[in-house]
Amino acid sequence: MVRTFGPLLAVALGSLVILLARGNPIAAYGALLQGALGSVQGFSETLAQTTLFIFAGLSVALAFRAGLFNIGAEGQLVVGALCAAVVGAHVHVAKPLEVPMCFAAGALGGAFWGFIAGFLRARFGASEVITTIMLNYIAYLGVNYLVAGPLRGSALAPETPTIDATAMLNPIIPGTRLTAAFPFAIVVAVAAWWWLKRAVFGFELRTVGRSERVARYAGISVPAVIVKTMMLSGALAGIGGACEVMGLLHRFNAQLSPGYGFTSIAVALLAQSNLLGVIASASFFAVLANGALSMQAEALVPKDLVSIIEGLIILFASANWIGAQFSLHRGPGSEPTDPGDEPVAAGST
Amino acid sequence: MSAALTPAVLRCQGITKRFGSVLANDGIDFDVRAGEIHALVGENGAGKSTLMNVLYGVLQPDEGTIEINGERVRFATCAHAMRAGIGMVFQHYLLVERFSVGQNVVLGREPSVRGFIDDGAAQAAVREIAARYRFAVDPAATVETLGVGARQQVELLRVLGRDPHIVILDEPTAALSPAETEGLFQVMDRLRSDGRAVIFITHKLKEVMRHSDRITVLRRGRVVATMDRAEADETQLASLMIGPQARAAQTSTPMTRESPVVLNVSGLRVTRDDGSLGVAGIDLSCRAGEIVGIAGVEGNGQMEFAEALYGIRPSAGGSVSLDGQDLTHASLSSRRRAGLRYISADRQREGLVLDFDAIENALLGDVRLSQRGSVVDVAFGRQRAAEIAERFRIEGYSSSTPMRRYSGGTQQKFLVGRETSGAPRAVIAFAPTRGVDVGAAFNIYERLRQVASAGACVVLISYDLDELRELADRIVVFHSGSIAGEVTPEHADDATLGRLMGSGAA
Repeated sequence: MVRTFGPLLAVALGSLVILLARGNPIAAYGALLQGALGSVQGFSETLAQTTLFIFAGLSVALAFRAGLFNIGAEGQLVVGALCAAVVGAHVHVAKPLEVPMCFAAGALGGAFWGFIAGFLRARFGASEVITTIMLNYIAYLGVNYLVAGPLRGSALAPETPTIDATAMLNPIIPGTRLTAAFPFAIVVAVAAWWWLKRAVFGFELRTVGRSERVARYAGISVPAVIVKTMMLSGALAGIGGACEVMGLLHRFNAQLSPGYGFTSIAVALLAQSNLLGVIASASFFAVLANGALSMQAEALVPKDLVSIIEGLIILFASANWIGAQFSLHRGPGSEPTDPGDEPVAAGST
Repeated sequence: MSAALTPAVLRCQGITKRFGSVLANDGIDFDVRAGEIHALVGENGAGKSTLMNVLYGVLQPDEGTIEINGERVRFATCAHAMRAGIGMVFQHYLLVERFSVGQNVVLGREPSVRGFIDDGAAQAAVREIAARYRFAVDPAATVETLGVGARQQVELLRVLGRDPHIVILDEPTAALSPAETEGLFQVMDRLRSDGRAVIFITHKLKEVMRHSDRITVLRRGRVVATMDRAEADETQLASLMIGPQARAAQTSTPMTRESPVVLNVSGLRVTRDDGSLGVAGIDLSCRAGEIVGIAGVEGNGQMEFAEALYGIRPSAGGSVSLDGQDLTHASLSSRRRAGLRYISADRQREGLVLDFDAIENALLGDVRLSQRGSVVDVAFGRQRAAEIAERFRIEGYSSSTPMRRYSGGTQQKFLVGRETSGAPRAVIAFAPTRGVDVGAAFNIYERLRQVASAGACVVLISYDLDELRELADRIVVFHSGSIAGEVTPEHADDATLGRLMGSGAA
């Protein structure tokens, strides 16, 4: 219940907060929607934002499906973005080659960052929750050092040099920042959804997510699945970072991600880890993120309200998620409301 | 046996409960008297648990009435049922692992002093009830340190603490050792002599015949018979439970001394989790067409042996080969590829993914054997699942229904069906009929015999001596991780097996 109506409930509670602050919720949300969707400019920015949320949301959702809580999408995204920016600025080849190379660099960077956490979990049993949080700090401070020092490309600010024109994604609507990265993200989401459902590795990933023990008894190498999943998860976040560099910023700087990797956890939770659901969920958060400034400017409601709504959604969604974890641990049939051994769909001879 | 004269403490009439289109209870009339043990028997899915959940207020009946001491009652929740004097011990215990026995027993009505739980009072309360029923359980022990039998006593203490007139025990003996089972029956006798009514749900007809006063048989949601124990016999009960069903003729296995050895284990040693030696040098060879039974008191190395054979647990010495191929250090997946299969004793935690549908469960373990490119061969899975459903005559089978929604017996049929699909060479069957009903057990026996007669070998590890005698060509007895002796089923009377299981002396 709470899960289904989480966003509505969060928006409703948001209204209450606005009222407490003596604002007008209708005007505030109106301005938010107007800003996010009311103009070609606003709408295209929202879609560009959706793109990043789709990739980062897929990253978190995919890990969830394997039973892994990847809090490290932020770090993976930043590392992937930096890798893409370096390749984009320093490798000079024709566009049909350079664009895929930048994407690959982003994916590899993110995959490497995910690999570290996956390896530590598979080899030493280190909780990926802890390691990915730590790796976020390492990524953040590490790239800050790199762009301030060895990789600095500008005298004015700590950032990498501007990437080649051949590494940039061009707007598909002139005058906007909406690039082919958006349809690409949709394609990746659909492909990932199908792959998870049908590919042998997707099957193994889901089995591990449901029960590592059953997976072991079925001959699945659980450590291999964990490592590969974390790499794929990191790669998806890294591609998101690459899109940000190639389509929007055209360079890497430390302000690239104001916590997008964390919002992506909310994206995945709201989507209930359904990879297709991530598209809708990412759009919702993109509208919030992109309309926040208009809301602040037009309705004089601080844009931090959006953070409150995000927080509430995470709260509602994770309440359910934790609930689900608990019922898993208690095992089937242990719930007193369960009709027990009796058939719901079928019986025996 | 004065119970026959006492009026019913609980009577229900015309109880009907539907789940969607499935009629789980269909006009059930049932009553219990004070001071009797009333056995409720029936196969998985016959409607026993539904009926009990209705009596306990977990489920609300669609139709029908419940009377306690002649008064109409309606239970909206378990709390109502408890207040009316009904106590129930569920099949799956509902205990807080980290809490002490005392804390678990008083859970929900903790004695407190100024808002703090009075542990002393809690433990004293436990001691009092425990003494009355002669439970040897330490009120201060943490539940997670207790075995199955002790946990059940904690559940019983919790129920008895509320002084119920009617005690419902849902398959209480399913997970108990023989000694623990004996202890439970003594407790049930005491409950009866206290004048309480006991409803005893079980599959095990021997227990019913020995310990109940009256028996009600359910089949497909209906009461097919209610009778005094004196009027009943085991065969009749079994046929009432199963209903009209053709019993296939028992086919003899074509195994001979000349059949080739399929599975060969020599000098196998396996360590337990704590580093001690669980299996201390076992030699066993199993020929094509042979079913080798392994008997023994639980904990004498059977689990370690099975796990090492299947590759879950590394072996510390010795060798394992299948069809001449050395598998001693092979991975689990290469053992499967060589034709080794494993029917786990714990279907829900090791054998099946309860949230997956039948197709995906049918593919578990073999998904890489059937893949097309890197894509799962769904058609193969669908066909295999349908074959299993047909072979085991699973009613209401739907390929897209999550495994969780099937009854325990049906889940077990799927597990056995999957692990015996695709021409296996050797099947390790660990307690393959634990917790399943007579009909399902019959299907499973039939299937294991088929697999053997098709030229595979079966290693049947079981704690059920009747099962071993029924199925095995020879019975090997484990004691302290070694083989204490070997007997043929004809010579495997309880005394002989018991001697081997107990002392290891032949």
